[in-house]
Amino acid sequence: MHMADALLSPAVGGTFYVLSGGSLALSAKKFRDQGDQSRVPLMGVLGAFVFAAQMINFSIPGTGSSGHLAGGMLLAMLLGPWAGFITLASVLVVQALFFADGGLLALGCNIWNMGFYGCIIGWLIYRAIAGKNPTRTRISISAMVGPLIALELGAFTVVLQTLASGISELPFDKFSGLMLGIHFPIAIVEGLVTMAVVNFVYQLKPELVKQSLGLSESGKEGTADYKPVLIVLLVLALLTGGALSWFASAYPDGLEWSVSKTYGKEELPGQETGIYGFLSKIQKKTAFLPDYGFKPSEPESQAEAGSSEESWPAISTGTSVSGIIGSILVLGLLVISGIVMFRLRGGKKK
Amino acid sequence: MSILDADLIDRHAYQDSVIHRLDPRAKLLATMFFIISVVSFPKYAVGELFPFFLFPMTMAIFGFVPAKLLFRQLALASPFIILVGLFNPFLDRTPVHLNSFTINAGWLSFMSILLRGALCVASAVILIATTSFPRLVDAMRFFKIPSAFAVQLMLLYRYLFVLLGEAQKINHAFLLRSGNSRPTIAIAGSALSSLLIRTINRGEAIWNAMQARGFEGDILTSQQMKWKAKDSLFLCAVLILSVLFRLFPLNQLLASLVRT
Amino acid sequence: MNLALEIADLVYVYPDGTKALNGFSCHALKGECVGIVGPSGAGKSTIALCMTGILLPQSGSIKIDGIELNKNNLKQIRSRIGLLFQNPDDQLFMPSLFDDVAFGLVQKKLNKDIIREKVEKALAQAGLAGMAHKFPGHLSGGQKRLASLAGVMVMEPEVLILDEPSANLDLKARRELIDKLSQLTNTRIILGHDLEMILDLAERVILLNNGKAIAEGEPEKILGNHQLMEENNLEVPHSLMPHQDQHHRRKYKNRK
Repeated sequence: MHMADALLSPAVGGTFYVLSGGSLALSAKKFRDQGDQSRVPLMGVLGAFVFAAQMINFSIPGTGSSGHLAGGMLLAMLLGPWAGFITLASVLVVQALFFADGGLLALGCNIWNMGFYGCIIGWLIYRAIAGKNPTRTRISISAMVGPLIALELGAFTVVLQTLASGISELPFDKFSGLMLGIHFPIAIVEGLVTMAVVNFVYQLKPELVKQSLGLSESGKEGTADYKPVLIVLLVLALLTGGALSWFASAYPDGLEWSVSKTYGKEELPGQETGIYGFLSKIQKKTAFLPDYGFKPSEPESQAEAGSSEESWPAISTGTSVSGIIGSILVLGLLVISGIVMFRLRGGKKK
Repeated sequence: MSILDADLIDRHAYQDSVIHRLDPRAKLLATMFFIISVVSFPKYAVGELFPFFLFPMTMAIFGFVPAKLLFRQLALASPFIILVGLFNPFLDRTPVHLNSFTINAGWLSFMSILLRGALCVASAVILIATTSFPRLVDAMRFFKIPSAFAVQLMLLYRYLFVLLGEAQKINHAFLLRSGNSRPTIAIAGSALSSLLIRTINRGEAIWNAMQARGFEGDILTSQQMKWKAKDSLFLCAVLILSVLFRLFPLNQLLASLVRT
Repeated sequence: MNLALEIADLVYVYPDGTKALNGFSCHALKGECVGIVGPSGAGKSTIALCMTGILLPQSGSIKIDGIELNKNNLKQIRSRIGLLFQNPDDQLFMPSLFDDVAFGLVQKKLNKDIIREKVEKALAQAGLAGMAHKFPGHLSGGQKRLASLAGVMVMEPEVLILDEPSANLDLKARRELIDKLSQLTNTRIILGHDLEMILDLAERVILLNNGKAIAEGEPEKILGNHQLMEENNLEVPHSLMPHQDQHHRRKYKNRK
């Protein structure tokens, strides 16, 4: 799922721009270094292929809903990690601009969620499973496992990004349960289609599928055994997917349950540590922009229904009658300027 | 439908207007700054966001961007945003008093989400509808995106509609032979596989064409970008107004004027 | 040196084992227009790719303008030979017409002003003046074909190879292309199935089948030879049929 600008804060958006930008620069350099320019046109057309593939909606048996190929793992298996990442990033740029899928600020997040996990981690998985001996079976397994891990990691990161931005109210556990749960069947389907397609290519052009494995940094990359990492990741993905889905469905009145919680970041689990804590610190630091009194609510104020003026001065200012009248006036001004601009513009030029 | 709209947007980008003639770097910077200003608001900002509609409105009107197209793109982008935001009124029940009645603060943040969504999506659509993609890539090159990425963007754009056309043909072919249902995974996989092989072959043909003309390394475009006074004017206007609207909520100011 | 092109006993085998060329030989004089015809799979496209050094033959020799092609002088060879691909979409890979036509010149690192001059001239000759900033994807089939021709011609090649140049063109665009090709002075090698076009343009025809030159000679003699054509899965072009013999039309229209 693509992250949207509307749910994002500048701090989180900016952070992931840095992460994605760095990854892109690194990928570009690695791609240049290995010197094979013949894949340049292939990257271009495969990127276009991803769009074409997304247009072919197939029905998912048993659910009646439709799905389509996301393509990260496919790109990784055909192009390798660096070229694959560059290609997927380009796909996301075009999606954001031409198809209103993901926003311009959210681009950094989306490139990370889908490109890094899908192509780079995906390729690592491919290499771990099939690196020494790319048989058809191993290729198939990689095609199934890769999307599973990549999509779940991506979905989870969307949750983190949304949380850290603080615009949506969805609580961590329910949101992650939902996202991880939904992406599980999606990943299975992605895996099946990827497997079918890559196997087909393997029959007709095996060099392509094998070539992407042969790419490593100039001999420095060790022959580390990725299997343990893989198993752990796989188990985690399955656990989170399965268990949290169960969790989500075990709470029919889940929404009621979260009413008692405040929306403040201070209340969410695990927020002081790790990436989330890091992000919220950035958030606080950049919230220096004078916001004329808007403050995140204090937990205690939940109970003070009556004394809203003191504890919610900002909100009441923004939503008092005068504020509403002001907003209507702004709308009026907008309409008037719109009409004026139409007049000014005149007829259509060619 | 979205293929048609993408094509419409693309063709519109090659039209001529005041907005089209602005330097792509100015438009890109303005759009990014605009989006950042919009999303930098705290979660309950609703009325404060209204003045920001001036930017997409002005660009769309003077850029002759078709309103229906804009709204269709907005509709396309909405589902996920609405789905996530809709929980807000239920999860955030902090009471907010408006003279006579009370609503959940969650409704405010939900409306804020919708407004942000509209502003951000609109500005992105308008950017690409008034700036042809190759020119936008030129602007990105100026801002130092890796050249391998710029080349990739260019080639992807060049073959995007070609491949989309092929996908449409596949969809039509299936539709005509199956009645009106969607393909199963197996059939889709099969159709995709054949399209993929053709695509890979096409990639090889393009590589041959590049080699035949003596391809040495980079693919450079010739279009020069010339920054003019009007571009500075445009950019400054957007920056200044964005900052002003962000820091000094217009609805408050107008309200206090009305009061006095 | 009057020979623009000299190919001797060319053998090319694809990686999957298909023997596309099995001792193919031909030549072309400077300025001559030669047509190479043959059924599908005869090896026509392979010849084109070998001549530009994209495919390197297992044995045999290719001499362009007296220079023998080998993997070390590809750059030199490619500056003397231009290839018009079958599908212009494969060839027009740049975002604007100007950039596409300029591509080869840019790769040669010529001066910007010189490039501009040459490109504009080439576009004007192709009848595409004023369309320099158009996106190739927005052009019609005929325009794309002429654009890719401009992109090749701007390099001023000694030899021009055209791989099925009239494929997918409507009749007007096809006629326009034939007119343009007839005005060129470069050595032209036309590969394809459009026998009428070859009759219009070629001074000499080579019949290719199973990777070898089966026959060579005047276009009317080769293409008008019923037996030869039938044996090689081809048909005598309509214009060479005696007027009385309307067997083409009769064959389809008199079914009851």
